[in-house]
Amino acid sequence: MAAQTAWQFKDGVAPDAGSFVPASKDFAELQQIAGRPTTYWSDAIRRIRRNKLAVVGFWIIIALLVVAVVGPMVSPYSYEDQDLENTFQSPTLRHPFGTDQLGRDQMTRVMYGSRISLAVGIVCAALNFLIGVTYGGISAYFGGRVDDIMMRIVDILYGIPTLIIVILLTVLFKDKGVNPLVNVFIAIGLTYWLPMARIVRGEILSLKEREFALAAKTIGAPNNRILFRHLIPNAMGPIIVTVTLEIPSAIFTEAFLSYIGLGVSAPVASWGVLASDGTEAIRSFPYLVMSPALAISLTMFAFNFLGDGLRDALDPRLRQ
Amino acid sequence: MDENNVLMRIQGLTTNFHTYAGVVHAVDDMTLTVPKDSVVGIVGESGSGKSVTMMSVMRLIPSPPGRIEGGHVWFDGAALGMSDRMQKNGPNEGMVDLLSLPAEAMMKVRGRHISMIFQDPMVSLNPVLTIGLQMAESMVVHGLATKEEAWKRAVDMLALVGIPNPEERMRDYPHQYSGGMRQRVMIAMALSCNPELVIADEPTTSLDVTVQAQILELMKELKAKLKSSIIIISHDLSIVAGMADKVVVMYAGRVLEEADVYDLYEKPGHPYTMGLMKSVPRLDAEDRERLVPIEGSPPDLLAPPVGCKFAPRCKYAMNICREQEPPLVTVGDGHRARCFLHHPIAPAVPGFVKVE
Amino acid sequence: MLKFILRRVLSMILVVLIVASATFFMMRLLPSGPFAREKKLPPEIVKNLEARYHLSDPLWKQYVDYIKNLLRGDLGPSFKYKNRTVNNIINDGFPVSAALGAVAVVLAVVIGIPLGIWGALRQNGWQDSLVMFVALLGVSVPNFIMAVLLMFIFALGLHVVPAAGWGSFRQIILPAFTLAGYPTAFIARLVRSSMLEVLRQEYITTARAKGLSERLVIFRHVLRNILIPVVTVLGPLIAAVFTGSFVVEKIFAIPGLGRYYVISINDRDYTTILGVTIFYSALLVFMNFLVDMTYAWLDPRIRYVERKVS
Repeated sequence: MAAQTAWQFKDGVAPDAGSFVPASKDFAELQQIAGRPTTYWSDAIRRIRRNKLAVVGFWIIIALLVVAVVGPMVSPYSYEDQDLENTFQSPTLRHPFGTDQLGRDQMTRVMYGSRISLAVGIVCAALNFLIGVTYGGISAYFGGRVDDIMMRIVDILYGIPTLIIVILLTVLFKDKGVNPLVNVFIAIGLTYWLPMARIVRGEILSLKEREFALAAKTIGAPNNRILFRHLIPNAMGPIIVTVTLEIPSAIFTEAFLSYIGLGVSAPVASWGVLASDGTEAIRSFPYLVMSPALAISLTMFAFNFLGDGLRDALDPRLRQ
Repeated sequence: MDENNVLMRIQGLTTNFHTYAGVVHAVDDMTLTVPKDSVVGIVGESGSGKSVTMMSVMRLIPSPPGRIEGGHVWFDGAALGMSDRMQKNGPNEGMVDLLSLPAEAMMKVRGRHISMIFQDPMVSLNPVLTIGLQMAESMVVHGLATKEEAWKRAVDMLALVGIPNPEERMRDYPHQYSGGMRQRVMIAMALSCNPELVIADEPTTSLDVTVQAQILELMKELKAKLKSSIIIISHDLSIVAGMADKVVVMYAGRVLEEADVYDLYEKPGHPYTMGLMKSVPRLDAEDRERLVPIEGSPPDLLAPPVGCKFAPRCKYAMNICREQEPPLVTVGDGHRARCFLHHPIAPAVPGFVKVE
Repeated sequence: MLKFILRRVLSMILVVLIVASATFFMMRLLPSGPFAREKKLPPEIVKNLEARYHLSDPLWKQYVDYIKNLLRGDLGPSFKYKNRTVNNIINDGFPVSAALGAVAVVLAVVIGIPLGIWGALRQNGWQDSLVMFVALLGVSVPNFIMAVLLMFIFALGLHVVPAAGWGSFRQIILPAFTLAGYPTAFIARLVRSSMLEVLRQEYITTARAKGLSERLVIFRHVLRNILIPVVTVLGPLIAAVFTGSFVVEKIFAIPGLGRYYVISINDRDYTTILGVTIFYSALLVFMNFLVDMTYAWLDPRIRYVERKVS
């Protein structure tokens, strides 16, 4: 049958014989895939940079750190300097946030409060991290009965309302001469590690069957080395997210405790205490509660924005 | 080609995905004719555009990134019962362009006139609904039966696909079934409304080998009994060979070759097709004959190469192949190929049957 | 299935027992606890304490008595108020708190779920961003701040609702919405992300390929799948409502159990603290149990673990 050639060539120009000569074999350039190769981390960093809220959150946290460290140092007042002639002042240039019922400068007190909140956030997150990662890591790594028992314990502990335990611990240790702040550190640090333990266990369980872990084992690496040098670093994504989200939890708990009278006590100025004092005066001097309220809320937003952004950026399923 | 025998004709279909990295040309100017009462096989690697083509036909492309940019999908108007939308004259007389239908009208086509069987039965069924409900649903939604009638018919369909104790099984949940069983359910679901066209997208890829064979057997049995056309998509030539009347080879979003199944295997008209056949073990091969893989990998659809998309991997690529894309030309009865090797001036190539 | 229920019930009892025992021993053994010798209490009180708590008995006997009383539901007298028992206090305060809490949870579910669905359906649109932003605020702003803020705006500022007190319908509005803030936001976020997750699933494509309308796909195929994670999270949310009630009741002067609890903490009324703690724990554990049961009912994969067909 005759060839039904619907041969159409570009520009209608028929090719010459030279076009039908076999082409040279330089594959390499033609096999390129467009788009720069990225690693997990650079991809994540790029994603989080694009998330404006997360970036804002990050900078707020940096600003907070600066204020916490530098603020009280440059302020002309201390958090306990009283000025009984000038109580309940509205905001002025000398006292940008006003003064409280004892004439203390509210702004300085809020800045001191930021030190406390950040300290609580960091110390508690660190404690939770250490306890949770170790517990979850060991449980997952050894698996089997060890895992069953350890997770059973976690399940039972999960059933206990943590805030109530924290309250109980603080009540019992208060008035005892223990620095109330340390009290709070211990109470929160010892109870909030459960979610971290669960997440770490989940991650390690799935990671330990992957080739790199099995390879390390065949080389004869000792258990703790495999666990701490190989497995846990690979689980860093979810761990970072969890830590970032535990910090506002701890800050909130401390503020809550202080608000109901259990945390630090006067004259130390934690944001919770300031909010509590401010609430009492709300009908006559509302601005007093605004500064700690704003401070707490802003801090929690910032950490939550950042934590959310990190979670989205580090979730491997959302890779584009 | 007997014009009255055409069930569906895809013409110039182009589908792109607009991602942040650029535009992915998933399907480019695709053309395919599906006759009534026949089986068409579409073969291609991952990323060749075979699934996207079918999802475009069903208009199930997720719309923020994806968009059907052009083309027509002509379907037998009488079968659809849409005489008011049929073309009155011209080459597609009596057919309806599915791409031009409003959304509600397309909804009535899905499941009723065209149905789909998906690749992974483990995730294709809703875990919180009973099998029975999921099976009866389409019949009820398309107004073909009441709930009770649909339920009964579903039981019959389950029996048809070889599930024991169908009445009891209807109240079960998907997680209580094995993969093979679930795929049978998917098949039964796809057939429940007696569609004119069934699209099976890699129906056996996720299954164990032994189960694969069972499912293919089942499909062959059903094909004999039914009057539907089937489009079977696979990356596996052997599956397609076993079932199809006509085979289409896709690559990088294009049709490279289209032929009657015997012609394709005996007289392949494209180096890619030849390559595919050499890379699969054959029972009639010589002892110790080596499998020859096709070097390289499919092109990046974000920035496809100029000229023939297969040229970078083609052993016989010529200069012109790098500059221009060959058109799809007819090289035999019902046999078309997209390759410059068919041009009269092109050199002869061993194993390649040039147009006569 | 029965095994599942049994295991949960056993777990419940175990947890309450642990909390009760832990608090018992903490109270008795810690040097700062209420029964420490260093506390200088008036002799009548000491005598009463000795009589009531049999402090001269060996520790294990005290413990057994304690558990026995617990099983009878007797939580003992208040440490501070001589003519009130802990049971009194709970009976007075709990119905109020329960009412408030129930309204808050209902609000959270009724507002949170549709909000989350709406956001997910308009993904990346302004509606989605709005919902997500507001929800993030709701999750970040502590409940006592929210309370003060709302009170300031709506009661003291606009005078549309009373600032405090309990008894009339209007007085429920502000505290209920405050208490519902965090759970609503949490649920909205959860529902949105669950929906996005579910909409990505293959079985949704199957449903669409069968020709089901978008409405049917969402209401029949998607909804039940997203309720499962919401129910899962209901336990911790109810706990958050409990603890939230402490501050909300304090601020709005509502005579609920939370408020008495905070007062008892400040007054160092140890037996009340102890008793109410155990009560709350038991309640929470029971709520978690109900939540677990609901979850099992919703998710057939939990219900039918046996019986595989091949």
